[in-house]
Amino acid sequence: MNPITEPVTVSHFLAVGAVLFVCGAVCMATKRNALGVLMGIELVLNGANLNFVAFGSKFLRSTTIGLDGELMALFVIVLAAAEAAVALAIALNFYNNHTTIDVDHADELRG
Amino acid sequence: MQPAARLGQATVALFFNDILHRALGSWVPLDSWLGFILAAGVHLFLLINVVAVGALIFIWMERKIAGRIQDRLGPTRVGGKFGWLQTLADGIKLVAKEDITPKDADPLLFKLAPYVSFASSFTAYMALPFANGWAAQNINVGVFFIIAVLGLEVFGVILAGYASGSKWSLFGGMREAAQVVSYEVPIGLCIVVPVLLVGSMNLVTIGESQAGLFTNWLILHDPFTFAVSFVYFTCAVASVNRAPFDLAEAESELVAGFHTEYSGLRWSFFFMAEYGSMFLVSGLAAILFFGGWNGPIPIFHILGWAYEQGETTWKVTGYIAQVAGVLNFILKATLGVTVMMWVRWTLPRLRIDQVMTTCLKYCVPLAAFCFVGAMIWKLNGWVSPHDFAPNTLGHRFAEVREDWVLRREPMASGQEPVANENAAVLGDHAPLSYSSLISSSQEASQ
Amino acid sequence: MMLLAAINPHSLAFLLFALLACGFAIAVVMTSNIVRMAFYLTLSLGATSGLFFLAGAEFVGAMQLLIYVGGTLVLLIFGVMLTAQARFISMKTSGAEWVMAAGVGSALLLLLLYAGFSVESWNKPRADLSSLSIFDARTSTPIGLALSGVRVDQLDEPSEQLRRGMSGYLFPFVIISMHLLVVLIGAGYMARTKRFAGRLAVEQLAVVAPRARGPRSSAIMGGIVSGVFVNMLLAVLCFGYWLSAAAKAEEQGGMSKLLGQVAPYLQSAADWLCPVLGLLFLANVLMLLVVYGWQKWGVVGLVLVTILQALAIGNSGLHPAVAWVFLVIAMAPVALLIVLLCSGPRPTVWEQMD
Repeated sequence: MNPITEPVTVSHFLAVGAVLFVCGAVCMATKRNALGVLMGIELVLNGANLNFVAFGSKFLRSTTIGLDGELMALFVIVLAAAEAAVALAIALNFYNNHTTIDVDHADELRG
Repeated sequence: MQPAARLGQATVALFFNDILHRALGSWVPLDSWLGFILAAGVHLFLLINVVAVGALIFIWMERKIAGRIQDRLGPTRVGGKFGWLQTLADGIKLVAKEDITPKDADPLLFKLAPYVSFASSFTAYMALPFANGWAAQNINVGVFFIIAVLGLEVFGVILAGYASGSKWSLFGGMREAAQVVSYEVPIGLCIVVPVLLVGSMNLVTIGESQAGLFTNWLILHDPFTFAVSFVYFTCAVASVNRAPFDLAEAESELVAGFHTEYSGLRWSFFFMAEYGSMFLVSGLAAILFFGGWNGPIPIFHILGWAYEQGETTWKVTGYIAQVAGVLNFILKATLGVTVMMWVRWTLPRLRIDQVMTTCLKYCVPLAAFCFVGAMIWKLNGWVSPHDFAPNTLGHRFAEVREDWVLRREPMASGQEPVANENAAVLGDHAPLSYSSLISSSQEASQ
Repeated sequence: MMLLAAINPHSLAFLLFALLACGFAIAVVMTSNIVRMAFYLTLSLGATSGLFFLAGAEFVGAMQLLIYVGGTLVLLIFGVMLTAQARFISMKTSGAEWVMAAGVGSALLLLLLYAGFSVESWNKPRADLSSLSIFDARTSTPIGLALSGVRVDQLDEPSEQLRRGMSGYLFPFVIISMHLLVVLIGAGYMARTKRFAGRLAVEQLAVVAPRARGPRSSAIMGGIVSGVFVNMLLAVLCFGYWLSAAAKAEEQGGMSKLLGQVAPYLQSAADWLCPVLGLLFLANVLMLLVVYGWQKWGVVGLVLVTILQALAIGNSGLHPAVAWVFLVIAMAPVALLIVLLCSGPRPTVWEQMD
C-alpha cells in the first residue's frame, strides 16, 4: 500500500513503533555509557506508546480499544519519567564512586 | 462542503482549496494538500511578521524605556528624533558580522542551538489565537501545548551552553535550565485556574468565555484568580529569563552567560526567541486573565458587527471586528511586555538560590493555595463579577459536576446544560437516577 | 498532476514524522558522542509526539512534549553533563558486539514488521474516513473524566453489568501519584551531594581498543577445533539417521549396513530423539565458537548442553544406563577443555575470558 496516497493504517504506526523499539533494544545492548542505556530504555517505551496510541485511535480503525490506549500511553509516560529519575540518581552515584560511567567497569560484584 | 462551514477549523485551507478547485477544476479535489500548504504558508508569513517585527519594535522600546528609567534618552539618531530604525541598523550590523565558531565548540550542536530555541518559541505561536477562531492551529489542548513547547526552549540554551566550549557558557546554561524547569511547576498550577473556571483547555473557548463587558474577564472572577494572575506573571518572567531572573545572561557576572560565544546572526536568533517568548507569555496572560481579544466594552457587539455564536457566513463588518480583536490582543500583550521591561530596569537581579527559593517556597504554595480557593469558589457558585453582565456570545462555562453520573435524571427545563464542545463529547446522555440504578440491580437479581 | 490530486496530506505528514522519528532513533544508536545522542533522542521523541497528534491523541502528544521531552530529556542531559569526563568522550563498542546486536536487532525487527502487517483488521484503513476530521479529536475531557472514575466513552455499553463495573482509571491514578511522591523523595535523597574523602583524580580514558589477550596453547586450540569437527559429524549422523528412519517406509537402501547395526539398539527410542540430539550437537558447535570468542558463558553452555543431551536420552525410552554412559563419555572432553583453560601460565586463559 502506498503510504503517500492512501490513508494510514494501524500497521504503519506499528512499523514505526517497531523501529523505535528495536533501536532502543540495540542501544540498551551495545552502549557502554550508562546514560546511553537509559536512552535506549526511553526509546523502547516510546515504541510501545506508539503502539498503544495506534490501537486506540479512532481515525485508523472503526472499532478501537478507545480511550484505553491513550490512558495506557499516559501512564507509561509518567512511569518512564519516574524511572528515568531513579536510574539517573543511580548512575550519578556510580559515577561519584568510580569516577567512570562505563558500565563495563561495574563488575566488582561478579564471582 | 461549504468552505465556511466550520469556522475556525481549517477555514483558510478550505478557502484556498475552494478557489483552486474553481480555477483548476477536478485536478484539485476539495481536500487537497495544496490548500493546506498554502494556508500554512500564509499563517507562517503572518506569524513570522509578528515575531520579527515585534522583536524589532520591542528592542527599540526596551532601549527607550531603559533610557528613560535611567534618566537618559536612549537611541535618538537613526531614523529621526526617536531613533525608530535603530534596531534595523543593529540588525544589518549583526548580519554582516563574521561568523565565529570557537575552537573547542562542538560544531553541529553549536550551530543548531539558536535554531532550537527559536523553533520552540515559534512553534508555540501556532496555537495562539489572535482573534476569535483566528489561530494558525486551533488545538483543543492549546494551553497545554503552549506550556509544553515553551519548556523546549531550555534545550537551545543547554546546547548553547555546552557546545560553546567555555565554562561561562556552561554555567549560564545550567543555571537557566534549572530555573526554567523549576518554574514550569508553578506556571502549570497557575494555568490550571482559568482552565478550571472555563472548563476547557481550548484558548479560543477561554477567550470566548470572556466576551462582553470587562467584568467578564477572568482576573475579576474571584480574588484567588486575581492573585494567581500575578503569580503567573512572575513565573512567566522567570520562565523567559527576564530580569530580575536573568542570571543566565547576567552581564555583570558571566560575561554573557550561555550566549557568550555567539555573535552576529546566531545571537540575533537567541534574541528573537527571547522577545518572541516574552510576547507569547504576555499574550497567554492576556487570553487567560485579561479577556484576550475582547475589549473592555463590547462595541462591535453593540453595533452588530461581530460574529454571533454559531454564525458562519462571512461578512465584512465581522472581519473588521476580528481585526479590531487582533489589535486589542496585540495591545494587551505589548502592555505585558512593557511591564516586563519596566520591572527589568527597576529591580535588582536575584541570585540563583533566591530564584529557587522564590519558586519553591513562595510561588508553588501560593499557586496551589489559590488553585484550591478558586476551586471552592467555583464549586459553591459564589457571587462573582462574571454574573454582572451576560456573555455576548452566549457562552456558558462547562460544568461537569462531581456527581454527574449518579445524578442522571431526565433533563428538566431549569437545569444547567453542559456547555458547547463537551456536549459533543458526552452526547445527549440523559442522566439516570441513582435510585433507578438500584432498582434495576434488584430486578436483575430476582 | 494525478499525483497532485492523490496525495493525502495526512499520510504525507505521517510519512514525514515517521521518517524523522526512525531516522533520529537510528542516529541515537549509531553515534558514539553522548551529547549528540541525547540531542537526537530529543528530536526523535518530538517527532513521536507529532505522530501522536496525527493519530488524534492530542492530550498524549502534549504530555509527551511536556513530560518526556521537556522533563525527562532535560534530566538526561543534566546527567550527561555531570558525568562527562573529558570533552566529547566516547566509549566505543567493539565490532563483534555490533554484529551480534545488528543480527538480533534485525531479526526482531523483521518479526515485528511481519506481525504488524499480517493482521487483517490492522491492515486496512478506516472505510468512512472522509466523514471524520482529525481536527475534531477531542479527547481531553473524556480522559479527565476517566481519570476521575467515570468512563464517559463507554456509556453506550449495552450490558448493564459491564457498565456498572467500569470504574475508570481512578485507582491507577492514585497509585501513580503515590509512586511519583516516593520516586521524588527517593531520587532526591539518592542524588544528594555527598562528601567523598580522597576523591580520585579524573582518569582520562583512552578510546578503547579490543583488549590484547594472551595466546592460547595449541592443546586448547586443538581441543576446540576437534570438538567442532566431532560435534558437526555427530550432528550430521543424527540428522541423517532421523531422515532415513523417516523414509523407512519408502526405501531401505543407502546406509542400510550402518542402519542395520544401529537400528536394533534404537528401536525403543522415541521419534524425537534424533532431531533433538542433532540440534544439541549443533548447539555444542555454537558454544565452542563462543569459547573461541573469549566468552565464559560458552563453557557453561557446553556443560549444560551435555546435560540436556543426557536428559533427552534418558527420557526417550532407551535404557537409563545408556544415558549415564553417554553423560560420562561426553563430559570427558568438556572437563579436559576446562582443565586446559584453567591451567597454564598466569594469567590463565580462563581469567582472560569475560
